[in-house]
Amino acid sequence: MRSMMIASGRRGTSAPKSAALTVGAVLASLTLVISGCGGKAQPPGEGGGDYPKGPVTVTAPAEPGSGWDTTARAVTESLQKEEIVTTPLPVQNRPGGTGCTWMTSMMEQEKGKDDQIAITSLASQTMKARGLCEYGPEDTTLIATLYVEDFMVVSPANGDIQNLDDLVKALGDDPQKVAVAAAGDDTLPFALFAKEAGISPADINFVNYDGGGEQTTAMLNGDATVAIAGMSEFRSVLESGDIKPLVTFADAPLAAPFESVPTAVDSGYDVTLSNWRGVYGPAEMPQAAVDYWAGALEDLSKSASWKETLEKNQWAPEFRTGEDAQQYVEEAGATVDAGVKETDIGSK
Amino acid sequence: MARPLTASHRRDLITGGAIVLVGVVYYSATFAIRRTDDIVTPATFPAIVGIALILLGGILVTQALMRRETPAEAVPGSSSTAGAAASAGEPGVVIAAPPEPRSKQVVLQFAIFFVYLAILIPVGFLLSTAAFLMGLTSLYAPDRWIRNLVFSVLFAAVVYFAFVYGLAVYLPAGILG
Amino acid sequence: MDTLVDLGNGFATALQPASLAFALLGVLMGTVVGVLPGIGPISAIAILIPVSFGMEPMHGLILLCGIYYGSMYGGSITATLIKTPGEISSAVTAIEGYEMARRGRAKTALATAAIGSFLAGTLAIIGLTFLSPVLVRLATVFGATEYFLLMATALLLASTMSSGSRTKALISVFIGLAVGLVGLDFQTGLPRQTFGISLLSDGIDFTIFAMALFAIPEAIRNLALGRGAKEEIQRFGDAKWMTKEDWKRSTGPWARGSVLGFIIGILPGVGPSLASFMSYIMEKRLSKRKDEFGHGAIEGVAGPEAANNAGVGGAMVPLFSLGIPGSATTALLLFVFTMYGLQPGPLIFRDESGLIWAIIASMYIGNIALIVLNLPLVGVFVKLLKMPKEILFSAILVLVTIGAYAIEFSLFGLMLLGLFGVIGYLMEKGGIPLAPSILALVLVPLLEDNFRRMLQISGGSFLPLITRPVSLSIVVLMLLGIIGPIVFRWWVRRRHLLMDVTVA
Repeated sequence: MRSMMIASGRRGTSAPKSAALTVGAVLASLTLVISGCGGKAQPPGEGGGDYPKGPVTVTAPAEPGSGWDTTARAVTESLQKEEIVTTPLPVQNRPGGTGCTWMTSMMEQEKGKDDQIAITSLASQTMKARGLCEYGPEDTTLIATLYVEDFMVVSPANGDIQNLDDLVKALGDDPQKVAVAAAGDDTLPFALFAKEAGISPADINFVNYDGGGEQTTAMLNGDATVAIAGMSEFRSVLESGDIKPLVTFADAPLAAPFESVPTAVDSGYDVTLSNWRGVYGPAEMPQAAVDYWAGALEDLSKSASWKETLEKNQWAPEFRTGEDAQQYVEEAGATVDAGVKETDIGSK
Repeated sequence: MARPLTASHRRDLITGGAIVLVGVVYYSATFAIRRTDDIVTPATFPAIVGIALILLGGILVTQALMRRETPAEAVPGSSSTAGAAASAGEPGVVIAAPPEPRSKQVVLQFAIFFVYLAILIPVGFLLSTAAFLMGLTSLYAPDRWIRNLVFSVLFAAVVYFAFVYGLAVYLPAGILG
Repeated sequence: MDTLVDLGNGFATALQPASLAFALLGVLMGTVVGVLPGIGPISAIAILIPVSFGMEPMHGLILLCGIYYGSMYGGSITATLIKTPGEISSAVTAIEGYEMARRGRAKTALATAAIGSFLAGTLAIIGLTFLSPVLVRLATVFGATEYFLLMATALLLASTMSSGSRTKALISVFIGLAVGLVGLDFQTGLPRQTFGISLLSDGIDFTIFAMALFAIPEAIRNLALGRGAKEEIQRFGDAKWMTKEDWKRSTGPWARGSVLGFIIGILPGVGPSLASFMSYIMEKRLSKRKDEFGHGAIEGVAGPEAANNAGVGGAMVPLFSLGIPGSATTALLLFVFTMYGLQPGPLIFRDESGLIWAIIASMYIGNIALIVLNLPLVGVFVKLLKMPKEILFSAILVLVTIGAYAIEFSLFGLMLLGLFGVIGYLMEKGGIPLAPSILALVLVPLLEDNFRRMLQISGGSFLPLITRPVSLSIVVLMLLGIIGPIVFRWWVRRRHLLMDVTVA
């Protein structure tokens, strides 16, 4: 690999000189050089026979750098590294409508194809429950769930709120004064929790932020009192001790070093909800392809590099395929449906 | 450079009027936004923008009407070119404001571009791009049709393969796929 | 001076021949991919990430840093040569850079951009190396109130970007705001201004807007002029890269742009794009030749390009020190770091000092690679302009179309491109400047979200505007900025003085 790349570098520098005649020639020669190491130099395959014949596109239906994108790239990296799948797996980003745009194409345009898989999660179920998307993950060809990321409520280490009781008390006194930094659908578990604690979810002062980075800054500069998000969002700041965990909505205590963080259920609030991430294929994906991917992802879930990735990102393994996965996702869907109805997110 | 002031007035009148119109349409679209009981609703900012466009368009119209009596102001965009050229250190590189093409030509060029945009996906990148390039270049330089043809086909093909194979950006294959 | 020792060790790693080769290769690949319209640094890194898999962490990171720098510069090349900005931060370069190219000074524009990028990048990395612990506090002092004020100031200043009618500049700002508000409301998720078209609910992509506004009217006008019209571009002569005069005029903008860019870059969520716009506005305000702006002022390329690159270094401060990615691109870098087992955050300098200093060192190297590679290539790129006009401009139309397709993948996206091309043409015809609306489109989400957050947090009170020390000082500065010139002008008029006064 390395020798190839250095060689291509040399060819690259000389290419523009000879090809200054047209824009196209310059672009082409250089991009073709890149493709030498990009390793995805085949047009989309039609499938059939020994599946997979050509490249299979892995779509992250969100911007580069987002949660879905991270998942897509982590999955393909491990699949290739462990040589579980040897055909090229280009990752593409198709952001739009919190994944709805791409899910709709997978249900309609890509119907019956076998050269496409995509990443989805709990957020797509919220979209459907709120009536913002026609389809949810349970309507697609769900291949597997991979892992869950547990929601966590955090507060600044030197703030007024030091534990869960402080939070409930502060919310009870004046919910307006407790600005809750949340990113999009992460309001759902907090709203359910508020309801359990006897506070009307409609009174909670949710302030919307774009991801854990912004939420952390908001807490550090005093804008937000507490924040809720998937715990990997707060990873580094938790370690440094700038913010502290108050409660998690996981169904069991977390892995070290967060084993002492109370779960909501243990603290007497019956809320269990985790953000699962999974892989789905187009509607009516051929059974052979579904089986292939279920098998490949199962191998992935057992591989060392994937386990390492999970650990690094503090993702909890939750590997399920087939009926098992479908059932798990439908159960989560039921919680979301009920939650959205009760708390009426987004249309207060 | 010495455009008749009336032309610049007319331009500002039309522009201002168009902006008022856009503002009105934009403002009326805010009524379709679902209201919430937040302090600043989703409709607040769009409404402010719509009103501001109406006001600014109005100001532009008023200015154009008022300026009729005070013809001293320069036409923006066409002033100061001399200063720029002088300090560029290269005498003789005086560039006037870009010449204006005839409207009929502009409409034609846009029409061809829109046809290209419309057929790109159904017909496919290769064919539609080659046809589009051939059309534009031949309209411009009909006598050099061989060069135009070679360029059109080659450029379309080279770009297509560079994107699809090099960057895995799959351009539409269309009827050839 | 532990820092110096660590940095020295970092350099020792980064200066190995293999590392250097990867830095050069990264810059080359980044430049080439960045030249393609619609493919900015984010997509460049995303596309090329697989290349770095399987490499040693050190080499992979050096490669990606190189790609980042290279793709930023690649965007400036197209902005200058064919007025096609590939990403937000190079939109500013398209203003003066292209005007310089029209006057046969494309070489100079690209050279001042490359040198400015290099100097600013270097200064920013020095800032990152030594000032991180102090500067990171800036990121935690800026709350919603301050962000809102900063954005409002920026928009106010945007209306001074162009010469000519202030009313028209403001119209341009509001057109940008109007376009930027289309789509789902971020705070509530409700659709706005979509006119019932569900495809509009994702909003209008910035790159499509900028490409359509800048590139399409220019291409269409040139094609429509036909062969009879006099040639207005591609005049070269034996232009030098940079004359003594150019050096003199670029130095100040480089320095100011670097400092400004670095500071703005530190603020999470704002990033290099605002930095380059603000630098342009600042240079225009400070310049003694305001008339030249809009007609190829070299300051308008040197400053923004420096600010742009310094902003990248600035964005690394919160990334390394707090683990907070300031932009989509740094979010992607964060992911890459994590893949290599690096955990950005306050503890990174302690736990991973070997790797982190090597990264910083490789950023230095990447910067050097950028200039080593691109200065000689400037002449080659500029030759593209010598192509016959009809070929150049019809090829540009195809390239922006590909750019739009690669962003939206739909007929709808293509039609948006065409529609905004028409709007851009009409705006130019009506004398409405284009650049302010592009800045407004970029800033509107930050402006609105932070305004609403401010009121949400304060329970509807506007008091935070004057009760927080930082926000109060911004308010005071803003008032001074508005009232000051009015008083000043009155004073000047009273004294019957003419132009030779510098606004300090």
